[in-house]
Amino acid sequence: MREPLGSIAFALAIAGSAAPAAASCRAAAPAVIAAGTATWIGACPQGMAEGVGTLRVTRRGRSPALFFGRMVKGRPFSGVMPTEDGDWRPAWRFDTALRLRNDPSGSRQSSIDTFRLAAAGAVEASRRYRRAGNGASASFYAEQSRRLLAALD
Amino acid sequence: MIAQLGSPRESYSQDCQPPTNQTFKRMVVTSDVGPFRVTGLRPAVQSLAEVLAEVRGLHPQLYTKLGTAGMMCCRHVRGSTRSVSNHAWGTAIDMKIDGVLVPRKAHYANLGLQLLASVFNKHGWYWGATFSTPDAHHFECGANLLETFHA
Repeated sequence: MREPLGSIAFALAIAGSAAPAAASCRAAAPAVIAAGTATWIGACPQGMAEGVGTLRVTRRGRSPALFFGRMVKGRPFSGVMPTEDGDWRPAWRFDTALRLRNDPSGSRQSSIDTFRLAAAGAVEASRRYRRAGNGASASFYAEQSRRLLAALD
Repeated sequence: MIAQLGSPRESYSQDCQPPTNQTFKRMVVTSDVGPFRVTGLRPAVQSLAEVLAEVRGLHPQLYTKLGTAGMMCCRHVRGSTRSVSNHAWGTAIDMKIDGVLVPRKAHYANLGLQLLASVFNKHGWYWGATFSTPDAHHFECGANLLETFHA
């Protein structure tokens, strides 16, 4: 398996996590990364994840999985997940079982918008970690935002 | 590109906008090319359909996993106010394999993209993995193929 810059970066982000998330926030993870405990790093009005941010799913014995993007009423709406190989898995929308859906029109603007939403989600996580005094994690998520914005030419 | 096909529109932003050049516009089509729909320049879309039909025959398992991050998009290259994206002419496409997009500037490509590249190359398309800034998910019509297109 290709290694391991992504894994190291994830580990750093977790090692320094200083609670930039709400104590209790309902946030469902996309099906492809659902096996673990999800923490929403973003706004949580009425106890449900809402708006742009980053969902972090901790998994036993593995690096955490991440979803950068928008949540609506505690459910993922649109965004991008990094794979363990360092690639991107964009999700235009999700079905009722939280499986990924592609834009059937094949629109490039949809893809660009999805990556922009994801980048905004990473920026929000970076901002929250910075505010919590966790510079290492803030830098990690800022770098993810830059990578997401550069994904499509 | 401009000499061969004309400019798709007069001005560009960071978002995809429709072409305004009427001659060019008449050559733009939206079509089902097998695993997905695309909007692009008619001869490029026809060539793409031929590429994907060949992929279906050679690599049927790969074919079922193909997706796209889009073909035509009249906009500036991200972050630029001068350079127009090659996607503006609808002669380039970004490919996903099993829903996954290899990042731009990555110095690797997955097996699916490598298998695709040989078929695209055979049909006169360039593979972005060989560009000075590598872009492994990107394929675009090569110079010889473009010469066969007429606006």
